[in-house]
Order: sequence, then structure tokens, then C-alpha cells
Amino acid sequence: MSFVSVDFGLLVPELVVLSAAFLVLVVDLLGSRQRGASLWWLTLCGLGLALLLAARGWNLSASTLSGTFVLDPFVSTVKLVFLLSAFLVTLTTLDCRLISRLSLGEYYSLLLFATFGFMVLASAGDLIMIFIGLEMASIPCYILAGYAFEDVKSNEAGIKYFLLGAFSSAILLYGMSFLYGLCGSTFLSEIGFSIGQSGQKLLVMGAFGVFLAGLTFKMTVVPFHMWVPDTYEGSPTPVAAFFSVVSKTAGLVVLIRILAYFKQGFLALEVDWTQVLSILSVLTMVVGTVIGVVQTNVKRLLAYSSIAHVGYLLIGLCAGTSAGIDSIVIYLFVYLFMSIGAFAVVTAVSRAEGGEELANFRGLNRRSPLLAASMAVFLISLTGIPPLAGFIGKFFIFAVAIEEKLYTLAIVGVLTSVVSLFYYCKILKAMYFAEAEDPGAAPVAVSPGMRVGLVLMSFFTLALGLYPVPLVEMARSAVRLWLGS
Amino acid sequence: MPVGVSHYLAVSAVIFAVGVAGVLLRRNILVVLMSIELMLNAANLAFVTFSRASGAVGGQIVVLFVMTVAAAEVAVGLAIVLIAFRARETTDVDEMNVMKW
Repeated sequence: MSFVSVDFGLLVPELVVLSAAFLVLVVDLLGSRQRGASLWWLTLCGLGLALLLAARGWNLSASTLSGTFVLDPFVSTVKLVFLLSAFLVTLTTLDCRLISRLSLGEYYSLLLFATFGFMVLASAGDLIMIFIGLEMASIPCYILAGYAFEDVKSNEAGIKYFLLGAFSSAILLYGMSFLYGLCGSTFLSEIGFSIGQSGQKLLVMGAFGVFLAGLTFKMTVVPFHMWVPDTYEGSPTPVAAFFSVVSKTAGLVVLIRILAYFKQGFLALEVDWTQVLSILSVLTMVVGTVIGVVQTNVKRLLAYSSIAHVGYLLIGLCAGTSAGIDSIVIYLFVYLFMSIGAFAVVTAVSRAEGGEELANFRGLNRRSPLLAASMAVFLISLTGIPPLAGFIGKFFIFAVAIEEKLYTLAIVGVLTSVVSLFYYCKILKAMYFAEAEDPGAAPVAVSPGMRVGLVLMSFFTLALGLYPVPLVEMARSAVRLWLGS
Repeated sequence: MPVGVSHYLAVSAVIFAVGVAGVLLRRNILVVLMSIELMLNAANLAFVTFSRASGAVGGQIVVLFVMTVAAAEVAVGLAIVLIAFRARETTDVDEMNVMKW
């Protein structure tokens, strides 16, 4: 009897994140009263190191833990998205109104544990790993959503996220059990091979449909999005920023990888999920945009905007080609900077004002011109207006849609982008053209970390819009190496 | 009549349905939590049944992991519910409505 051989070299970025999480916990216990700053540095260093290591092993294609942990350029690229998001969220955490009064040790370690879970989830090669990765990521996220437990809203956010998250995990697991039953294996590659042979079209569709329903909860796809606005509004703002990028990306990546594994099987059974995904995509874009229009709370508005953006990402998946996946990767990188950036400005304003309503943003340009300018950059980029990065993201998505003759999706996408301009403009108008309630208000105080973070994110939002070539090249070669075409 | 795979699967489906109905219809958070546990265990039963039928052990390994994860999940969930109860003196889901639309 031999033990499973583990190639720890492939797990290095994950292990670095995990060790940083434990280290933060230990330092928090042992450290002195002034430990807040050292924990912050420790988290940043851990994430930065993991980022470097993940980027270095970027073009590796291998698997370990007897095939349950898979590494390929596509997965590594997605891990860069996770690590970069966690890094930027940590940079902008200290300005949070709700968190700064609480113990930060658990906060940072939970953030790191969640990042670790998402990284494992992205690399999962079998059903067990998918479930464990998902739960390792979700359970810290439930705590993070309700982290400011003295705040009624944050607690409510935690409860709603927990109940619906656990509910969707259970649905996902039930779908998994039938996929396993039909194919007799938990490995994705083997399942993909044997669903084609099973010949039981209806059962396969049912099992995968239940699985998909559980997954779309995590991806915040309409009609399974009810928890999103409440959870984002109630959670501490940096946590909401983390959710808005990382948890959606993780769900989407699992779906992309599973569809790639099952492609042959579905072809053999003549099952096509494009139609279902297109309907979900249209619903998500429309609902996210239309309900966003009536929001007066900026955080809630950004939550609906993030739902709409999942709809755009789904277009790339509906295309079903490698160019579609390229466009998703490009969009993810672009979306990361603008979404976390917008939430970061909300973090800063909310600490100065004690709230995130539109009224709190009035006259921001007079008070803090730089903060207002960076918010304007992020919002215009989120709309998709050139020359900012958001335009590049949307351009590639819509180009793929037109290439694959998905005209309805492209038209709905462009129309909802136009409507979204309306609600982003509400914030712009409040910042630039409305008088502040208190004209003599002091400038919004911003911590050095927040300043660095905002500069970085505005820079990338501008730079990727003006010169997207390296990003596009990276996305293309990652997907090409992964699919081997 | 011998008890076969389909019987176990039927029991599993019934338990799952009871769980889903509980989550959607009951208003007490603790009952909702228990219903989620029912759903997880329905999936466990299906996994074990399939594993037994096909002779592949993978399904039984999944069940061990699911039980561990479920325990962790309930621990976190009960902590969150406890804090909510302290603030509101209720475990009714409908009372959790500070935020709407």
C-alpha cells in the first residue's frame, strides 16, 4: 500500500496564503497592543509573496494529490485575480468604519482563509475538492459578512448570506451526488467521459441542472441573487468589495472548467446549455440594471451593478469558444480594479460621513477632489466608456458575442450598459454638481494604505484602457495553453 | 420485496424535499438550519447508495467530508444566529428586515 504522493511545489502559493493566515492568528495572540499595523503588513506580505509565486509558476500544467488538484495557466491566471483582489482589499481595509474598532487579527486571517479556499476551489479536479474548496471559502465569508457584529445591518447580512449560502451548498451537493451516481467517479475528467456513455440524457440534465442551480447562487446570477444586495449593503465595505470580485469569479471559473471537462459528454448526449446560460445572462443583466436604477444607497447600487456585470461575463461563456473565455479573463482583470476601487471610495466616504447614502456623496468634489476624481474614473469605467479599462472588457465580450451570432445578448448588453450610465451618473452628479449639506466640512481623511490602493487602482483602470495589449496577450496565451489549441 | 437502490434514492429524495420545503416555508431560523442539515444528509444518503451500488468508494469518502463540513458550518451559523438573537430577542426570519429592496 502506498501513500498518495504530493507535489508540494504546485501548492506553494496556497501554502503561503495558509501560513500567513495562521501566522496572523498567532501574532495577534502574542503581540502587543500596537499589533494592528504589523498584522496589516504581515497580510500584505503574505499575499504579495503568494502573488509573486503564483505569477512565477504561471505556465505550469500539472496535477497532484492523485488528480484532485489541477494546475494550468488558466487556473493560475484566475488565482492572480483572487490574490490581487485580496491584496487591494487589505490595502483599503483600515479605513472601514465598522472594522477599525474591532480586533483585526481574526479579520485578516479570515480573509486569508477565504482566499485560500477560493484558490483550492479554482484548482479542484474532482467533486470532493470542489465541495471542500467551496466550503473553506464560504464559511470564512459568512463570518466576514457579519464581522461587525454590533452593527444590526452587518449581522443581518451575515445571517442572510449564511442561510442562502448553506442552502445553495446543499443543493449543489445533491446535484453532485447524482452526477457521481451516474458516472461512478468523483473525478471531473472521468465524469466528463462517462456521461457521454451513460446515454441517460434526462438524468444527466437533471443532475447537472441541480448542480448549476447551486452554483449560480454563488455566482449571484438572477433569479438566485436575492441575497446579494442585502449582504453587500450590510457587510463591512471592504468585505463587500471582496465578495463582488472573488466569490463571483470563483463560481464562474468552476462553471467554465466543468463545462470544458464535460464538453465531449454533453456533445455525445446532444445536451446544450448555451440556451439556458443565455437566458440567465439576459435576466441577470436586465434585473441588475433595472433595479439598480431606483437605489439610493451607493453600496446597494454597486451590488446591483455587480450583478449586472456577472451577466456580461456570462455572455463570454455562452459563446462557448476559447475566444469567449479569453474575453472573460480580460473582463475579470479589468473589473477587479474598477469594482474594488469604487467600493474603496465608498469605504473612505462612509467613515467620514457615517453612511453610504447618495446624500453622503454630495459635494465630495469640493471636499476631496482626488477622491471624487478616482470615483469618477471607476464609475465611468464600470459603464464601459472609452478610453477607460471597462470599455476594453466590454468590447471583447460584445465582439465575441457578435462573432458567435449571439445578437440578442450583445444588444441587451449594450442597452443595459446605456441604462447603467444613468445610475452611475446619479453618483457623479451628487459628487460634482450638488452642494454639500455642510459646506464647511473637512476633507475626507484617508489612510496611507487607502491612498496607495486608490492610486494603484485608478492607474490600472486608466492604463489597461489605454494600453491593453499585455493583458490581452496574457489572457489569450493562458487560455490557449490550457485548452491546448 | 427486497430493498434496493431505488428505495434508498426515494428516501433520499423525500428527505431532500422535506429540507427544501422547510427552508422555504418555516420562519424560525433554527428550524431552517435543521432543514439545511436534512438536505445535506439527503445528499449523503444518495452518495452512500450510489457508492454501494457501483462499488466505488469515492462516494463514501465524500460523505465523511460533508459531515465534517456540516459540523463546521453549523458552528458558525449558530454563532451568527446567537448574536442576532441577542440584538433582537427573536429567531424569526421575517424580523430580519432592516434592509429591503
